[in-house]
Amino acid sequence: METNDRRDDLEARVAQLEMMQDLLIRLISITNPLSNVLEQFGATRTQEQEILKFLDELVERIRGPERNHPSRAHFEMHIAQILPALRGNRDFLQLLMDTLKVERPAYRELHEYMTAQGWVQT
Amino acid sequence: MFRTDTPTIIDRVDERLTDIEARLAHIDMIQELLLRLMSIMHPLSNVLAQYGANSTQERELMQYLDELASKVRSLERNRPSFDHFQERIGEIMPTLRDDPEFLRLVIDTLRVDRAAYRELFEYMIGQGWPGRIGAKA
Repeated sequence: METNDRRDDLEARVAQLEMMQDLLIRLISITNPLSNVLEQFGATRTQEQEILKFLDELVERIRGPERNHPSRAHFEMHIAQILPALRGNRDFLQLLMDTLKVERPAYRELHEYMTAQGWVQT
Repeated sequence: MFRTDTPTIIDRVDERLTDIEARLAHIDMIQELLLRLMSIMHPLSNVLAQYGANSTQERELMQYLDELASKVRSLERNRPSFDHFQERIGEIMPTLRDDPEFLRLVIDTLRVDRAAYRELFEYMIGQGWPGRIGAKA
């Protein structure tokens, strides 16, 4: 039946796109996209190291007991302390959180937490 | 009156279409992110480096593209032509003068480079430049 054929074809094309996109994500993830984003937004090497250290701490906390899980307010406050020039810059924060999705696996876990908590716009 | 709670064929088709739509929306979202991340990795510089351009050639080519980007926004009579583009790129990179792949890749890369070049890319596509690459005048 023609409709069935078209639907199967659509599903096959979507599956192909997903496979290709997974490959692109893997390739992008080894180019340190987060460092590129921070550099683009004017972060110094020291600020970049501080951000990465803070994100590592967050990863540890989301793996720990629920009472230690970080809040969005804490996240935003800490990022603003490290990068005061970008305080209140919603685009930067959104891109920072989005980029975690295509970063190293530990940060992907953090991105999933942020998404589940409603921090990330989807 | 005939009623049934079991899913009909139409329900199942709707479900599968909804699933496809959701997966496509997710692909769109990720693609936007990948394009944004790609654009800050200076893809055009990487392409030029890969093809052996030195820093002077890279600067000249970028300067030329900046001129083109501003020309496509100006009066129609000032808008750039494909022949001029091809000739100028050949002047800047003489060893790649007859390399259609290089010219095609430069145009394609404008799409994922800085936002200022995207309008130029759309102009090139609108004018059918990619189709003219390699064709003798």
